Amino acid sequence: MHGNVHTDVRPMTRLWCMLTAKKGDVTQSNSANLAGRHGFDWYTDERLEFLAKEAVSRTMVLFDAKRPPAGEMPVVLAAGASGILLHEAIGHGMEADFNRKNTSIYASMIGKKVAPDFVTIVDDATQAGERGALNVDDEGNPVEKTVLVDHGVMASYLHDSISAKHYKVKATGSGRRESFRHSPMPRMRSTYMENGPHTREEIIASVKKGIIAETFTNGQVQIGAGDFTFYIKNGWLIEDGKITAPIKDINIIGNGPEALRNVTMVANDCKLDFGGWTCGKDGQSVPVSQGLPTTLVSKMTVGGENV
Amino acid sequence: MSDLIQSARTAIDLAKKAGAQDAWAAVSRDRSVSLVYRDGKVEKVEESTSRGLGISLYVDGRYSSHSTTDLRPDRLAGFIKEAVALTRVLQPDPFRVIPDPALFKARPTVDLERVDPSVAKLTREQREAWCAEMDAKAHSDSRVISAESNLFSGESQGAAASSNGFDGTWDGSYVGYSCTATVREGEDKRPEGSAHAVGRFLAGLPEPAAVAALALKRTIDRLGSTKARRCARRWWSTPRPRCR
Repeated sequence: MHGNVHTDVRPMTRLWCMLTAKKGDVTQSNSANLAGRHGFDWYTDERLEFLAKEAVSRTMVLFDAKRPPAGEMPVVLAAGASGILLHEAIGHGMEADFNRKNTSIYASMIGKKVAPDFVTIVDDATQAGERGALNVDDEGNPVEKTVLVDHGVMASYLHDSISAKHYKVKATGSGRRESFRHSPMPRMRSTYMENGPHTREEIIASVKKGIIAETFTNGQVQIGAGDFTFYIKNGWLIEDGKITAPIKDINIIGNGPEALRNVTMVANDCKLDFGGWTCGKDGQSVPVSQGLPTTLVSKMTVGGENV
Repeated sequence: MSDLIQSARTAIDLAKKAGAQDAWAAVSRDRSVSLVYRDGKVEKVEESTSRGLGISLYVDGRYSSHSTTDLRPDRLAGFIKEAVALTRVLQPDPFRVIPDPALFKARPTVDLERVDPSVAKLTREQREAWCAEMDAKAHSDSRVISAESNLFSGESQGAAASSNGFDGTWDGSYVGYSCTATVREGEDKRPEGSAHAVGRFLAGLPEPAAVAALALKRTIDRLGSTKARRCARRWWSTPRPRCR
């Protein structure tokens, strides 16, 4: 566009380890994967060992895991993979096309308080090796680290050229498309929440009865209504401030903006998930990264067992 | 169509030359068109044409499947040579064999009527008019704050060939429209509902306005919806009474 010509090389690899284990008459399956914009030499012996151990650990813990009780309770989102919730339930609503069309729950929220002061959410295309990293976006715009929520205040949407023109702001380098068959639109790249003032230990100790959501397999969200559902494959039960048992196979149900308002503690252990995620929107898939520090949401509906 | 079947046969020859005992190749060409209309205006027009080849290889008792969109002869030769080499790395799979020719020797030749010629002739004006019709219907309720209508269509052609005598071609068309309406609920909720209709033939599809009316109904029905009530909560270490 504008007569600019850009060239880019975008390597993308992923290594899966999928396991099935049997103990007595019970069979359990789980998996782990490593992914990024790397060549095959990135998959060193150390990384392969880490991946195998992670997959084994996630699988074997399922033999002892139970489903927690259903109901509304505090949910601790574990650092890393819980970023899927941030991506789906909050990030999509901050893509400018949904707001330009007035269909996002965050339309007209720029400058307004949407989260506690210690919450800062960014979408960053500049982290080398991440699936969401870009040298230039698919419209030829330079990329950046975009602050979406700055200390609790909605600061920016993610813009492609069209929405930037509409809102009279500069594009954030978020115009992405799956291939030549598609037109670019605002998309997330690497979305995460920055570190907060608490520690993971403090957060767990503060929960009387609740769960830790550790690994997720899928989720979906209604952008306009903000309602989401996520499936947790691995997690932990917290009773009286202590982790007491592994849990598995549960849904959590909530509303994105409400969950963001209900964030009461954020730890200082932010990490991006090492596994690969692909985001789907309007029939287009693009690779993304996501992450989170350990985060406490004071209440969320957990679809465990009816007891 | 003849160029497609020729590409499929060329791929089979290349696979055999590279060392495959058997191969099955399919080549396709697709065109898709989409017009998106939002709140009284055309929002997006998208058209793409693509070609692709998929090939299944049977090499020394091993099986693999590959695909590419680069059908230039010199590139295809390199691609298939590499695919055959990759197949040799796999574990043997004695149960994977190319389908017995007896299974396709006397296959029926009946026309399944997969093509509506009028789909390829749809004009931009017609697409826009139908979208405008859906848009008007969706906006007939004043609570709607935004509506998006889409008319999409496509045509495809394909050909397949195998190393044990299969030769075949196919073509098809599709056309459809969809509508999504959004309403505002309270301060911050924007529930939406959608509907779509799609088929191989234009005739037989419901009226665009009927699709928009269904989308509108689904949207309005979502107003005031809440989570279902749940049973009393107990912890799983305690006895579990049944819900009523």
